[in-house]
Amino acid sequence: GTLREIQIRLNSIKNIGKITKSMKMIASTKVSKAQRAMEQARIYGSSSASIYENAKTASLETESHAFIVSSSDRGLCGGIHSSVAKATRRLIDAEGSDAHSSVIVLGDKAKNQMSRTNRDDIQLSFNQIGKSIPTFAEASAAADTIFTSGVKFDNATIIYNKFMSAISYEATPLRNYSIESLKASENFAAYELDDEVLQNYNEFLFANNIYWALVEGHASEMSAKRTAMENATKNAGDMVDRLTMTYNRTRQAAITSELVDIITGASAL
Amino acid sequence: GLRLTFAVPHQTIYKDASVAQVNITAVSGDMGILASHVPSIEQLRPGVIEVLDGTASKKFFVSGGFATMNPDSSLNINAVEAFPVEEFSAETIRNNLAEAQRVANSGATEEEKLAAKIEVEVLESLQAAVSAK
Amino acid sequence: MSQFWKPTFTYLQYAQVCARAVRNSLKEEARVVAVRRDEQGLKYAKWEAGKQGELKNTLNTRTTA
Repeated sequence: GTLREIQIRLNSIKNIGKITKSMKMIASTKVSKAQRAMEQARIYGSSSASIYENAKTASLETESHAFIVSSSDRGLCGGIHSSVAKATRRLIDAEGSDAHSSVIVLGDKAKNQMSRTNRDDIQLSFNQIGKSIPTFAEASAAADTIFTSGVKFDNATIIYNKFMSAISYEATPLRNYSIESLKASENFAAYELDDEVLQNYNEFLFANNIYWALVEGHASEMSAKRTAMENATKNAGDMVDRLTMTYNRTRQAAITSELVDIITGASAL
Repeated sequence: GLRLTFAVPHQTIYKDASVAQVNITAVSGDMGILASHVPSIEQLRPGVIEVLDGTASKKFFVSGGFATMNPDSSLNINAVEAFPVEEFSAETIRNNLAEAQRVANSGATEEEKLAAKIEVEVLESLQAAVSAK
Repeated sequence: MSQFWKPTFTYLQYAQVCARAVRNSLKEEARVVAVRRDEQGLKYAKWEAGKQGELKNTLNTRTTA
C-alpha cells in the first residue's frame, strides 16, 4: 500500500488496541468480583447438594428428565456458550432417540444455540441474565417459574460452565433429583422429616442448585471475556509492530526513490 | 465432634468448623444440636441460630432455609439471609412491623395481605430476638 | 405446623418475602447493601412446538416495605 494507506491502517489498529485494552481492564475488575461470589456460591451450593451424596441418591429408571442449559444473554465470547450447548446435546443424544427430553434455557445465548438443533425440545426460556452477578432472587424466580409453569419432568440436569481456573472452564452437569428419587435413596430413611417439609426442601434445593450454576457460569464467562480481550490487545500490539516496520520500510523506499529522482534530475542538467 | 457449615448464597459464615452446639429454631420446634444428634432435615423458621463453642456464643437471625444434620455429625445450614443479631435496627423493625400490620388488615389484594402477614411473623420474631440481645 | 401462606405462595415465594423483611430491618449501612439482593428482572417465555411464546416477567411478590 501507499504510505498514507499504511498510516490510516496503523491508526485504526492502535485505536482498536486501546479499546480492547480498556475492555480488558473492566473485565479484570469484574472477574475478581465474580470469582469471589463464585467461591461463596460454591460452598453454599455444595453444602446444600451434599444431601444427594449423604443419602446416596440416584435417578429412578422410570422418571423423565429435563436439561437446564445455564448461560447468559451476553456475547463476545462465543466458546463459553457453545460449550454448555454441546455438552447438553451429548447428554440428550445419550438418552436415546425415543426418550423425550425437555430443554429449559437460561440466557439468550443458550437459547440461540439450542434452538438450532433442539428447537422442538425447548419448553421454557429465560433472559435478562448476566448483566451483573446473579442473585439468589433470580435463581429462586427461575426455579419457581420452572416448577409452576407446568413443564413435566422428574429429575433435572443443570449444565453450566464450571470455573476451573482463571483461564479455563468446563461444561459440567449438576444433578437435581425429584422428591421420589430422594425418597427412594439408599440412605434417605436415616433422616427424620415430614412430608410437608420435604416438598419445601425440594423447591429450596432446586433454587440453590440453579444459583450455584448461574454464579459459577458467570465467573467463567467473565474470565473468558478477560482472556479474549487480553488476546485481542496482544494481537493488535503485534499488528502495530508489523505495520510500523512496513511503514518505515516504505518510507525509506520512498525517500530512496525521491533521492534517485533528484540525483537523476541533477545529472541530467 | 459437631462440624458446622453455615452459609447464605453470597457469604460463608462457618465452613466445616468444629463447634460444641448449635441451637436452631425449626418449624418442628426449637432444638439444640450436638454431635450425637439424630440425622434429620429441618425447615428453619425466621428466627435465631445460636452457635456455641466453649464459653463463646454467637447469635444470627436467619430469614429461613434448611438445616441438615447428617449421620457423620456434619451439620449444614443453608439460609437465604443471615445476620448477627446486633446488625439490626430496633427502630426500623418497629416501623416495618407497624406498616406490615397495617397492610395485613387493609391491603388491596388478598395476596398483599398474606405477604404482609408473613412479614408480621418475621418482624415479630426479629423484634423478640433483638430485644433479648 | 402453620403454613398459612399456602397455597397462595410457593415455598420459594414465601422465602423471598421473609428474606426481604429481614434485609429491610438492618441498620442503614448494611441495609442499602443487602437490598440490592432483592433486585430481580428475570423474564421468561413458554415454548410450544419450536415456537417461543410471549415474554413475561417472573413473579416478584410485592411487599409493604
